[in-house]
Formats: sequence, C-alpha cells, structure tokens
Amino acid sequence: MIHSNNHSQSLRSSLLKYSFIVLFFILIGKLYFIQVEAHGRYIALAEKQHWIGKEIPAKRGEILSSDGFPLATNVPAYLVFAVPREVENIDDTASKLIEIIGYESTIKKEDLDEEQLKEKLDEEKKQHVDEMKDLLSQKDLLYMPLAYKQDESTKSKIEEANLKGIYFEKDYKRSYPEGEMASHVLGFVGKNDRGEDQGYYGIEGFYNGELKGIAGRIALEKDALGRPIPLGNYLPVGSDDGRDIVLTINRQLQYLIEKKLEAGVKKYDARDGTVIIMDPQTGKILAMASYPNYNPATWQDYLKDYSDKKDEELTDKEKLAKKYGKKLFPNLAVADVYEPGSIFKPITMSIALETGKITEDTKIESAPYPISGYTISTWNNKYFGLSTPAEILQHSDNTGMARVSEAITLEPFYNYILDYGLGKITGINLEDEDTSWIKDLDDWMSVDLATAAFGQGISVTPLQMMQSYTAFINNGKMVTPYIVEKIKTTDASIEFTSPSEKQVISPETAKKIVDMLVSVVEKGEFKFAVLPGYKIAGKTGTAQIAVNGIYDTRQTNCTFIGFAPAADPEFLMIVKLTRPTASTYSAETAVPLWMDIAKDLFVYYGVAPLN
Amino acid sequence: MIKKVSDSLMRRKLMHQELNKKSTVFFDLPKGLLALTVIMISAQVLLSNIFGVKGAELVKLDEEQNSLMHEKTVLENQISELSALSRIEKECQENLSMKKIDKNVVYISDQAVASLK
Repeated sequence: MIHSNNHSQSLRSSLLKYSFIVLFFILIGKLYFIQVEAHGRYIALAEKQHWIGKEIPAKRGEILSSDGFPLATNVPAYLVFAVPREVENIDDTASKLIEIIGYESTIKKEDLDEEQLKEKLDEEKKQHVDEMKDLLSQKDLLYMPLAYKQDESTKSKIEEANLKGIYFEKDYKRSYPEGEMASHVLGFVGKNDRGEDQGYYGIEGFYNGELKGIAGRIALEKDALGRPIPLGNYLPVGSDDGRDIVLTINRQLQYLIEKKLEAGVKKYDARDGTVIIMDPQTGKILAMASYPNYNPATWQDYLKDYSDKKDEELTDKEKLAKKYGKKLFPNLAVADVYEPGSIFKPITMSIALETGKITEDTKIESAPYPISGYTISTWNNKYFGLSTPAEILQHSDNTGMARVSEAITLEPFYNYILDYGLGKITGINLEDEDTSWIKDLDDWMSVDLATAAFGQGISVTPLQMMQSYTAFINNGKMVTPYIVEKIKTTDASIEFTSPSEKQVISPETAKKIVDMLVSVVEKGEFKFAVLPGYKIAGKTGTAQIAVNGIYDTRQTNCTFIGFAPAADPEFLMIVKLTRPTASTYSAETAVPLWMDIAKDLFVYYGVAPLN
Repeated sequence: MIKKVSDSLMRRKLMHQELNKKSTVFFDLPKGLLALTVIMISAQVLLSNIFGVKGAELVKLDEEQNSLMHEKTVLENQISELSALSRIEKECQENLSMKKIDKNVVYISDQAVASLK
C-alpha cells in the first residue's frame, strides 16, 4: 500500500515536471515566434501605439510680379476624408455630404419639361449619393478620400452636420488674385497621374520643381494617454515649402496691355492676339499677354463640352471655352510659330549691310521679280523704280527685298538668320516655348531665299522677333529675353539677369537699321496712325496665311514691332493679331493698337513729345 | 588554563562584534535602497507629469500657431484679391463714379512746363 502511494506520487510528480518542461518549450517557441518570426509586425504595432504621425503639407511657392504682388498664391483648403469603419449611418452621411459638397450637373435642360427635368435631376443626385455610399462602405479601408480642395465654408458645414467618421486634412488651393491677368505667363496647377499637384504651362509648369516644395512628416512618441512626450524620441522630417518666384512682369503694364489687347482683338475681329513689352537693353519682359485668356483658378471649366448649347445661352467664359477649348492654354507669345511677313525685312537688310553687299545709298530696283517660274510682286502692286534700302523698307517692297537677298546669296543669309536665333528657342523660362524648324542649307531653293527675305516661307514666334530686334537697339548685340527676376530660397535668393549677349551685327549696321526704321514710321504707309511728337522706330508685317498650301489674301497675320524713343528706347513692343477681319492690313489693325498702347506707355515712362 | 579561557572569550567577543557588524550592514542597505527607489520613482512620476503637461501645452500652442498661420494666409489672400487692379478699377467706376478719360493724356517735360510759366 505504501509502495502504491509512493508510485502514484512519483508519477504525478513526473507528469508535473514534464508538463512544465513542455510549457517551457512552448513559451520559448512563442517567444521565438514573437521576437524573430513576427518581429516586424510587432514593431509596427508597437510604433503605432507609441507614435503620433502627422503630415506637414508643403506650401506651393508664390509667383510674384516685379513689385512683389502675388499673381499666384495659396489659400487654405481641405481634403475631406472618411474612416469608413467609424461611419455610423452610411445613407445619411452620403446624402448629407453630397448636399454640402455638391457636384457638377451634366443634365441638358433643353427639350425637357419641368417634371422630366426634376426627375432627371433627382436621378443624377441619387447616382452621386450611391457613389458616395460605395466609398463609405469600404470598411476594410482606414482612409478614404472623398473630396479635394474644399474651402473653409464647406468644412464648417460638414462639421455642423456632425457626421461620424468624416475628417479633414489641411491642404492649400492655388489662388490667382488678379484673375485672368497674365494667365498665359503663369500657367495653372492641376493633378498628375499620382494625384499630386502639378503645374502646367507657363511658370507653373516650367518651375514646378521649385514651386511645389516637399511635404514633411513629424513623428512624436506619445504616453499612455496619447499625449506627446517632449523628451521622448522625436523624428521630424520638416516640410520644405516651395520657393517663391519673382517675375520681371510689371503689373501695371500687364494690366494695361491686357485691357487694350482684348479691346483690339474685339475691335478688329481677330481670332487672337499677342502683345509683348520688353526692356530692350536687358531683355527683361515687362509684360506679355495673349487674348483670349483664361482664369487659371478655374481652368477645368474651359474643357467642358458646350457644343450642344447655343451662343445666346452661354456666358462670355463659356463662349471662349466652346470656341477655343484647350487651345486657350498655350502662350501664343512663345508657342505661336507663324510666318512673320515684312517685320522680317529689317533683318534681311541688316545682313545685306553687314556683308557689304549694299550700302544705305545703294539703289535697288522696285519692279516685279521673276524667279523659278513665279513672279514676286509688291503687296499693292505699286512699284517705285530705283529705291534706297530705307525706301524699300518704307514701301515694304517685296521685290526690292528679293533683289537684296539675291545680292546676299544663300549661305551668308542662312548663317546670319541662325545667328539671329531663328530655328532655336530663345530659352525663356516658360514651359510652352516652341520654335520653327529651319531646313538644311542644301534643301533651300532660290525661291526660298527670295521669299524668306520678306518673311514668307520661314517661321518665328513673336518673342523670337523681339529678340532679333534687340540687336538693332543694342549696337548689334542681341540679348536673351528673360521673365524670372529671382527665385527666393529660405535664406537667400537667386537673382537672374540676361544670360547672354551676342554680337550679331556691327554697331554701324545697327544704327543704320534704326534710322531706316524711324523713316519707316515717319514716311511709311501708316504715317497717319503714328503718335505725333515721338521718335518711334518700327516695322509692320502683314503675312498671308497658307490654307491648304495656297496663300489666302483674306487671311493674314498682322504684326507691328517697334521701339521708342528711337534714340534711347524705354520699351520694345510687338503687337500681333491673327486673322483680323475688320481689315487684313497691319497698318489698319496692329499699328493703331500699338500706338494706343504706346500712348499710355509714354505717360507711364514720363516721355514728353518733342514738340 | 586561565589564558586559554581568556583567549576563548576574546574570540567569542570578536565573533559577536563581527556578527553585529554584519547584521548592521544587512539591515541598513535595503533601507537606503528603498528610500532611493522611492525618491527616484517620485521624481520620475513628477517629471513625467510635468513633461506630460508641457507636452499637452506644446500641442495646444502648436495648434494655435497653425490656426494663426491659417488666418494669416486667409487674410493675405483677401488683401491680394481686394487690391487686384481689376477690382480697384471696378470699385473706382462703381463707387467713386470715376470715368476713363477720352482725351489723350501726354507727359509734359519740365522745360515745357517752365516755358508755359
């Protein structure tokens, strides 16, 4: 009996001992699993419990005019997001959110009676509410963005509705205080494929990298109550706000030319128009405008389809959207490649003078010029016999220019037009700058040379023409145009000046061309439109537009480029109107508009008339 | 014999003293440690509390700063919009009854003004 009890005790003791050993190994195994196998997961869980994470959005840099006024700035906005598992009443939350945030209706109201319209609108609203419900129903997601860039009032309304599981994340929305002003220079901010803010066109596009900045993140260790521990671990990755960009644009001049250009395009019934004002000594762009323009803050509105609506039902903005669509966005001053016409003649004349093929006293025949089976004539079929180079320019004589080009010969002409910067971009810091392609020297025919001499058969942008004319003003040195004055960094600023100067022609040739351009204004075909008392140098250009390979006399590009006062210019300005129908001649369209703007510029610069 | 007894007594006395000494060390050390631990825990609690309160204050100040920055941005934006040239022109025309001048305005040089006098 005693033996039996001892045996039972020994068995229990062994069982207990082995149980402990087994439990010990289970414990060791579990510890191994936690510390080795599932290490990453538990670290993540622990960090989630111990850390407060917070994203710090980077503020997009501002774009300022030369007087420091913000042309593009930021206004606080909010991203509305949901934590779906916290949303209590999905139906109610979805319908309230749709009510507050709203949506763009696509219902076409015509051909619908009141009842049908109401029915359609209800149906559309239900569709949006259902879409919202779908977003809120995704309970396995912790974060569901619902609406971007909502303003303060929308946020307040949502807060007042007291919806469970709906939160806000601070963000910024781009704002353009001057509205449409300088829209083509500025560009706009949209979203890229990853849903991030991205600049398109103009400065917003070209300097997107500098402007956007880098979002930061802050991580603070928290205590059991969720409060941050000041001496705990602190992992800040500060946001780097975007850099501010100061432009050379003079706000007053920009406003002035935009008003005048809009009036001019409407008055002469042109398809579009461009004006650029430059400081010719430095290459600084003081104002640059194209019309029609757009409001960069609401750029999406211009892409909507208004094709089935009548013009009477549309607002001015909708009419522009219907007529131009996305063609509104490119900056015509740098992206519109066109045949310049007669404003190119002074360049040809300067090459002839520079190469010594003519002098200012050379007599050039003004008469029909036959070449390769064609006959080149003057724009008005008037001929003046033997003319000086100045007279050729005054009469804008194509036949005289063709003869001048013949004297120059192809190779020097080709090399000089490359020196003048044709065929390559000016390098201005705007995203949409374009240029024409100049064909290889071997591909030029004699007729190409003759027509290029008076600006047909070659293409330029308005800004390229401006750049070429700076050579006449600066004793033969051509300056590079620029539009960014400085980029402000947090502790300093990077200043810009004209990146380069290039001697294209001699000072003597440049002076001769300036004198000729003064005579063009004083004695040319448009002398009656000129402002009295001011010494202005300039040249008109009326270039026919090729339609299906044939030049159409009823469709022209009208340009006037000039500077004043001629002896020491305050400004160089180009005015270009595309396809004006009120008149097809520059003298009756671009010149009056140029003079109208110049009149105000003289007052602005304090230039008194000579008499 | 007497010497042996006295040696034995002396040894016992020394052993007793040694034992007493050991027991003093045995009982005094935990008391000191205990006091030190209590002081350290109290300090830890106190400091944690202070840091916790300061942390909450910092969070509050951070929120206040954010809110003021937000207000500043909104106000700056309003200023920009109100001082936009198109708005100034509109206000001048609508509220101050200012009109555009139809006639030509020209700048007159100082000499011309002097000759008029």
